Amino acid sequence: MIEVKDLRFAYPRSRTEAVRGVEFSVEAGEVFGFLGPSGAGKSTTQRILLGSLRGYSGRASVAGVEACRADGVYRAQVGAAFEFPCFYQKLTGLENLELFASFYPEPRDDPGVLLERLGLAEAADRRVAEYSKGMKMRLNLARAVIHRPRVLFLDEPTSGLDPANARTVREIIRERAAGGAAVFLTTHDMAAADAACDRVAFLVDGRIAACDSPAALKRRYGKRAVVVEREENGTERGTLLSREFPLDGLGDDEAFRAELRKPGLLGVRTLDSSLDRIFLRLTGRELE
Amino acid sequence: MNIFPFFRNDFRLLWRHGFAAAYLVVALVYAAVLSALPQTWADAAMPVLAWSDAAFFCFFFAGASVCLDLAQGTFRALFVSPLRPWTYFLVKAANLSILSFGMAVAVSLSSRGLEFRPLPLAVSVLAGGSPSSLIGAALALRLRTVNRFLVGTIPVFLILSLPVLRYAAEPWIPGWLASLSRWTPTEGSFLWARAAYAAVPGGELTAGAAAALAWTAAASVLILGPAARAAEGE
Repeated sequence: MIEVKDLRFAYPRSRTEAVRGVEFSVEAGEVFGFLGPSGAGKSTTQRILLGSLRGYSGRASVAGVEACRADGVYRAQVGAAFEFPCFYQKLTGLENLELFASFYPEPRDDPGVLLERLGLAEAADRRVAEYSKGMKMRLNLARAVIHRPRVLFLDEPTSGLDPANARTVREIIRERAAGGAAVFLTTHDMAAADAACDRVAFLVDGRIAACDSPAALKRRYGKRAVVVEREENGTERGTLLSREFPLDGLGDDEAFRAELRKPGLLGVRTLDSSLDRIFLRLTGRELE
Repeated sequence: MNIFPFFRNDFRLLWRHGFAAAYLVVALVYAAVLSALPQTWADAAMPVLAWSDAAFFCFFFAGASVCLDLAQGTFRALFVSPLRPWTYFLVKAANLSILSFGMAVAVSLSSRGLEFRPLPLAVSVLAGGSPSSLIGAALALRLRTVNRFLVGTIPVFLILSLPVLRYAAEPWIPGWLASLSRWTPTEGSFLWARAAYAAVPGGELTAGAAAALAWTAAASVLILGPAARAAEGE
């Protein structure tokens, strides 16, 4: 659904390229996470794919149409939720949603049902100026999905949301993907990406440093070991003792079994790497 | 794409942002001023006031409206949808022109009763409102905030006012300034505004309408188009 090949782009009056030979594809029904620090080229790539930036080289197409030739038909297939929700402050949530929905052809979702699902039914007739950041973020998602786009671009869709609303948002994203939409999700939140994405790409300085499923990345870059943690008896507050065992041959490891039989067992955990650690290892920098 | 909901919501926004109320207040002020003037003076002032409804208010309110969109960040969301910039600006110009026409009719009725011609007045509003709205919107896209727009557009405002200067003081202004006023975007509109209240030669009116059309086309292609593309890419 989304095809990007050797994509390069430099802003006017800039000597360096913001995007340097990026390549990836996103299939229908897939949630693809685009992760990277500020200035890595995430927004530039997204804006190219949305048809807002021209003058790139390489290929950037959505549903077989090159982004630089984006027309009304192209844009009708695309839904976008930006990181900072932008609405008409003097219109109500429902008026905003109906206005933006009116630009797209049928079939569309019922605005009332969508607002209800996102917990905004009671605020539907309030002006957006009175909305909290979390409410605007939810309205932002509603606007992006209301016309049932085939391709969804979401920038930090769970930013500023409480856990319950973040879960609802993730559910809606997964539902849209299950319905055949290709979802391009840009985020700093590795836990959110881990929970929602089928594949992720790490973008640094305009280049993709790694691209795979979160599970495959964790396997590849994680440590194949388990740690047994127990509390040593006899001490006043209990000293935490940890011991590491290799995952290979663990079933036959007598020392591991003996550790499990000792008193004060607290738990056993794997040493899977998190996406944050993998990003740090691959790029040498943290995500802000 | 059905543009009626956008048309309706843009009008709603003009109301909620107070633009429509501003039109109403100015119309009342105009009516009050005209009623206080001797009839010959009021008759002389009437074309200027009617013309200013479109030429000035469309210019400033289109600019302010675009600045508000820029401040709210709604451009990004609008232009990733199938809505195209030209539709957006067309709707803004149309709504402001309708308000201007309503205001001009109300002021005319208050001063002259039914003794005016609505059709030339409508042409005047279109001929003034279209280029003024587009130029105002384009400058707002470049200047980006209401404050910068109000200050930065003073020279343009002065140029748009030249037809009135010639009308009021032609014997006392230099010839080159009078000639220059004939080439401003609002000259055609002013001729039609005068035609709403007095006889104006048909040739002049035809030339005025053609000039307004040319200015509108030029403003769209040469000023608004590049400004809209720049704003879309930001």
